Amino acid sequence: MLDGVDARFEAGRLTSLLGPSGSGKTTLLRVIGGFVPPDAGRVLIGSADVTDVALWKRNIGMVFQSYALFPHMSVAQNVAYGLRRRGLRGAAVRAEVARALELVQLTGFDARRPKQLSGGQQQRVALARAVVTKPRVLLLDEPLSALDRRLRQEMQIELRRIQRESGLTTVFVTHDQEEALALSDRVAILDKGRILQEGAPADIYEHPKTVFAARFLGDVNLFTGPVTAGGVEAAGALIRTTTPMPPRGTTATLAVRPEKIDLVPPGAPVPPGNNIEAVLMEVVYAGAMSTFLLSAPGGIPLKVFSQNRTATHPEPGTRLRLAWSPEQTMLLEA
Amino acid sequence: MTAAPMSRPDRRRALGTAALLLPAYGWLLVTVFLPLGAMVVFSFLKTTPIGGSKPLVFTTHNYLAFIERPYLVDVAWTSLRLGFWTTLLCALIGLPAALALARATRGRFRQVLFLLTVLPFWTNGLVRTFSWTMLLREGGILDDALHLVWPSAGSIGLLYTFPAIVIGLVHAYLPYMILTCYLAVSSIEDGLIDAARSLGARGPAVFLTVILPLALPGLVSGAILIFVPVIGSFMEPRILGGRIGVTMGTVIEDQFTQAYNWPLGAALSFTMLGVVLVIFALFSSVLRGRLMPAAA
Repeated sequence: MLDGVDARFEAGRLTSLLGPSGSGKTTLLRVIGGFVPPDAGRVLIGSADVTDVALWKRNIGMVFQSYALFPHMSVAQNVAYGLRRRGLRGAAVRAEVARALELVQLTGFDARRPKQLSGGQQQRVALARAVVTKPRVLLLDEPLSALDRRLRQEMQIELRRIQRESGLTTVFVTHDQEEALALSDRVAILDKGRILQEGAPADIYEHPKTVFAARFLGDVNLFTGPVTAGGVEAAGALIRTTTPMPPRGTTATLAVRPEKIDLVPPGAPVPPGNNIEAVLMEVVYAGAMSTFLLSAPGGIPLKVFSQNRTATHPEPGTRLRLAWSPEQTMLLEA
Repeated sequence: MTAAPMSRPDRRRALGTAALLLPAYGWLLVTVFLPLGAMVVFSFLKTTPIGGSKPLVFTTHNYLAFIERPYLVDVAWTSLRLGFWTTLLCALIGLPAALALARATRGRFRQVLFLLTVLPFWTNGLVRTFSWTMLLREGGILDDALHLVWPSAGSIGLLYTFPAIVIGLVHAYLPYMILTCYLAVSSIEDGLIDAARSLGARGPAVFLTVILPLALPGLVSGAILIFVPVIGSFMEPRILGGRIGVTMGTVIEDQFTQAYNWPLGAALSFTMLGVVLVIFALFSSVLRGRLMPAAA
């Protein structure tokens, strides 16, 4: 499943492992945690080699996709479990449990059973149980995927706060790019068992290296064509970028995100930079924003996001002029 | 709910439920409660009301049997010990088997193993029990096998001993324990065990704090399914226990088939049922305390 992964997770930071299902992100997490041994290579936490350290003494905190709360124990007993396994008893346990429950804002839920809690509350208990032992690494395996959209957004903010307050080195596995971008200090994109790219969220969103990375992080318009002086010929125009280009005569792919493109009103002066003409196929109205689906010469499908400042939209079939800056144009590897 | 009149769909639903339940409860009424009811009446009679046209004389005398015949207390004690040891051994063998079946096998392999565990159900009880006599008697297969390995060992004639009866009963009732434990254990999510380990629990701790408590419902229902029939068993004690195999089961059977004293047999059955119910009542209150320990 994994293919020569070499990754560093910075202490005290939240790093996301982002990838489609089957990309090996959960396997990587399970290797770090010690749930499965790697076939080759080492796992280090800090400067300590923990490759051969058994799971039970590796001192990690893990939040499972299914939460995996012990159904026969109360909330307090669930949270106390790790402390008790470390030999703590009595008042020390109660104090730590109370602090952890306060951290996840579940004070007063001590005596409840997991079944009596909502999905979001179970999530918080799982988190409290994982952080209460002060683990060296906190591992989160798609912890928010079972929650509905609103709750998920709330929990993202909550998770960020808890991670900052606890200062735990955190590795977060997700297939949701928005979640990864919103939550992380660093994002690593995985595909087919390899890390394709790693960086700060804005960095990898604005400067993806490959078509896969660009597409996985959001919508993107692609222009593939021969390299000529100063740009790439595609969609009946010369598209420029500020990135150094490969040699003339080769084929290259340039890309631009849908929100970077302006729709130039008819009659208005054409701005400098890249501009092409395209036929409007469809407008998808979504309240705050609309998505324009267009077709450029050569049948290239395009997507443009536009804030709905006015309530009027052009009709499908209209020819529109699209403009964007060469700085916003990314050069991608196929 | 308030006593509002039932709406039409509600009434149809109730009728449907009744129609579905009727065959089962009708059958139970005819085949269980009528004979059982008759037995309750018999247990208060002075003589067996079959043959002859003597008038029925009612008495509670039969229920004093345990006081008037103190040896019956010993017999009941033997039965309870049989129930205890059989249930305990079934639990000790059945739970690991259920764990292995649920957690370490899959597909066809699991199906075959399952088939093997329920085989005792499909063998005739007499054949099963008599085949144990071949194995357990002095100079039997077990004895021979031991002497092959260790010629100077003494003979191990287990037949007509208490352990022989327990062995036969464990063989007969083990499938119940495996099946009930399997049901409980197979619903334990893998994540729970991973979670326990990641929180610092080693193998034994995982077993004691996660697997055992979650398997407990299976152990309890298995124990109930085994304990009750073992208390009343008479075939295994008689064949494998011989002279020492005097249990409540055999005494009650004798009252029906040999002494022809149905009232006493019925009264002994109900007394034993009462004892078993008391044991379960005590046991369940202990279990409830165990299942809901005080907060940490």
